[in-house]
This record gives sequence, structure tokens and C-alpha cells, in this order.
Amino acid sequence: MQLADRIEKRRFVGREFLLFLWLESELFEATLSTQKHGSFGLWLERTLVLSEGKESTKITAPMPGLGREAKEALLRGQLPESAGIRIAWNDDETSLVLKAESFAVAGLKLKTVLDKEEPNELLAELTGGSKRPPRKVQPEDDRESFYERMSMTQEFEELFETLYHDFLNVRLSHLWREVVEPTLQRWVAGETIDADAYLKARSPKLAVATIEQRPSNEPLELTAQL
Amino acid sequence: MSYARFFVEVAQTENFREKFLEALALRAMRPLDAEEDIEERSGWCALGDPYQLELTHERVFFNNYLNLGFRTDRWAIPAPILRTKLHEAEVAYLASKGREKLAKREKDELKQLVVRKLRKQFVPTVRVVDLSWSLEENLVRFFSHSARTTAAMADLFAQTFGVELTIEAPYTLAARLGLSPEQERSWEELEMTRLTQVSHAGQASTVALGEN
Repeated sequence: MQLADRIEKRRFVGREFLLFLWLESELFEATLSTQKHGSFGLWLERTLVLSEGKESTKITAPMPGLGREAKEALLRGQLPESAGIRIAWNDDETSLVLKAESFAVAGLKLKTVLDKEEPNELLAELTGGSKRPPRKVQPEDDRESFYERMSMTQEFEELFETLYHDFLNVRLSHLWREVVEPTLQRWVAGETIDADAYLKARSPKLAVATIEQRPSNEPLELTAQL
Repeated sequence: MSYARFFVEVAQTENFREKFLEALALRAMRPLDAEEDIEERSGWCALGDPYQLELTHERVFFNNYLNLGFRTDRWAIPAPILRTKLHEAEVAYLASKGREKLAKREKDELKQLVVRKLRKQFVPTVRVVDLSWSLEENLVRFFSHSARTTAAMADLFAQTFGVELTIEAPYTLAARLGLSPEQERSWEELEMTRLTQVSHAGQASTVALGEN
């Protein structure tokens, strides 16, 4: 397969990644974890766009993934195209909109320190505050502010990439077909999922050990328990 | 903060920074001139200062980042003013020639003349989008999602640095994170997930999804 095909014909993997995050944030009550970052909050918020071909569904709600409308769109063959995501991590909360097929980020809010706006001199004068002249912004300040912003952006991207890496380990293994897909189908249908059993089943190491011991073509025992 | 990521691979030779600066000098923004017959132009400027067009090492390189502003100037003469001035010019021209109608060529020439005159009374609109190239990560972050602006920037980037930008995709990121040979094979065989509608009888019927 040509590189261009690996890129263009598999952009749907980004949609499946969003779907996976959505599923797991619901199953694990908005608390996900990675080995590297520990536990953190992650949930879909404000906006969720699903589409397939020319058909698209845009849901705007505080928790757009929870409603039946979103699941119905999945059953009509649509997959997430973009989603508003909130991440609570490191005593901070970040929100953004992630586009599935290009991993483009919109509206990312970072809690930077050096970027804070200068005090409004006019407002200070009107309210009787200090008339101290605003600090002149030095090129070094610009640089420091840039480094701070990039460092925070990279921190966020690292978390996101770790999640994507963990997703790929599942998506590119038998676990997707044997564990995640059946769970997705039951979840979309509105059935109750045993989150602990699901987690055990889709954990690559445990599942690999289980698979090695089972005869081929026999369904995973844990999958059957879900 | 909104941005798109692009993957780019460039062999970093010993003096690549100097070479980049030379290339940038050739593609730095040249502000529009009212006498030019051009509607819009793009070029590079310093990050954070659209009017700083002298791209020195200090202004461009922030440690392992190459930072630029992608500046686009465009003449934007309000349409009602253009229409009024054009009409006035046409009336005056016809009166001077003692005619009632203009040929298409005359109309076009008059329009060019009026536009050129009006441009001297206006200043072009200036739009700037930040770009940050992380040389260590081979990643370019471009702080806009506009397809038109992105395409114009990608063109200028290729002309300047001689390399094409590849917009981030699930595969480019997966490849950077590292796929095993087995995972590469799995990637090639991937099919889009098909969710199924479970009927009341407990039978599953597939909702067909076309591959992208």
C-alpha cells in the first residue's frame, strides 16, 4: 500500500479514536488513565458532530454524547467528525475541539502565566486605581511567553498522543474486533456494560495471555462476560 | 488557540539555518503597491510583528523552533464606493467622447484606472497567521483552520524551504509514535468499524458504512 493510501484511506481511524474516547469516558465516568500520566478527567462537552458522507448530525449540549440522538446517529452509520473535549489534569482544566481526521485543534485554552494581559490603565484610572504606566513588553518576554505556551501545548499533545498510542495498541490488535466492537454495539444499543470486565478484557497484556491459552476461533472468555 | 499540525521532514545540514534565512529573505512579505495590478499577496514576516519584514536569525529562530508570521495583504475597496466612482468615470468618459455606450475593453480599462486611483486612498487589509516549526519534532503548527489560507501557506512554505507539508493524519501520527511491522500490516488491512442495529429478535443487522 502506498504511503498516500495509508494516510488518506485510513483517516477514519481518527473518527474511531474519538468514538473510543467517547465510549471509555462514559464507561469510566469521565476518568481515564494512562500509565504515563495516571488518572485524569476527560469527557465530551458542548459539541459533537457525527457524519457519514453527506449526512451529518450536530449535537450541541452540555454533555452531547449522553443523549440518545448521538447513539442513533452512530446506528445510522455516522462516526464522530469532531468533538468538544474537556480534560482535567494537573490541577488544571483544558477544553478544546478535536477534529478527527486531521487531529486539528480548535479553541484550546491554556492556563499560561506569562501571557496574562497588562492591567487596563484607563479602567484603573476610572476606578481610582494605580496610574502606573504599563510595563513595556520586551522581546525576551515574548520569547518566554512563547516557550511557556509551546511547553503547555506539548504537554497537552503528549497526553493526547499517549491516549492515541494506547488506542492504536487496541485498534491494531484482535482486541478491537473481539472486545471493543462488541462492547460498542451493546453500548450504542443502550445496554448496560460491566466497565471492570471490559477494562480487563481490553487490557492488551492480560488479553494476550488469555489468547495464548485458548484454542483458536474460540471467543475470549472475558468478552463473553461483557 | 486553534491550530493544525503538519508533518515535514528536512535534512538538517550543518548550515541549514543560514540557508533557511537566505530563502526567507527571498520570500519575505513585499507590501502591495497601488500601482501594481495585483489584488492580494502573501509573504513571511516576523512572528508577532506583521510589519517587521527583516527576518534575522534572532527574529526567526527561537532555540529549536523556526517561527514566522504568514502575512497576506489584500486590497479591499468597499463595493458601493467602487460602483459609484466607476459610474462617475463612465459618465464623464462618454460625455467627453459624445457617445452613449462603452465598449467592453473601454469599460475594463476604466475600471482598472478607477481601482488604481482608489487604492491610493485606501490601505490594504493585513492578515497574519502565526506559524511555528518545531525542528526537533519535524512538526509545523499553523494557527488557522481556513482551507484557503492553509493552501496559500503550504504553497509558500514549499517554495521557500523546498519541502511539502503533509497535514497531520491518523497515519502520520501513528508512524511517528512507532508502529511495529505487525501493526503496519494491520494498518493496511484496517476496515472502518461497522456498528450494528440489534433487532428485537436479538438478531444483528449491519449498517453498511462506505470506506473513506
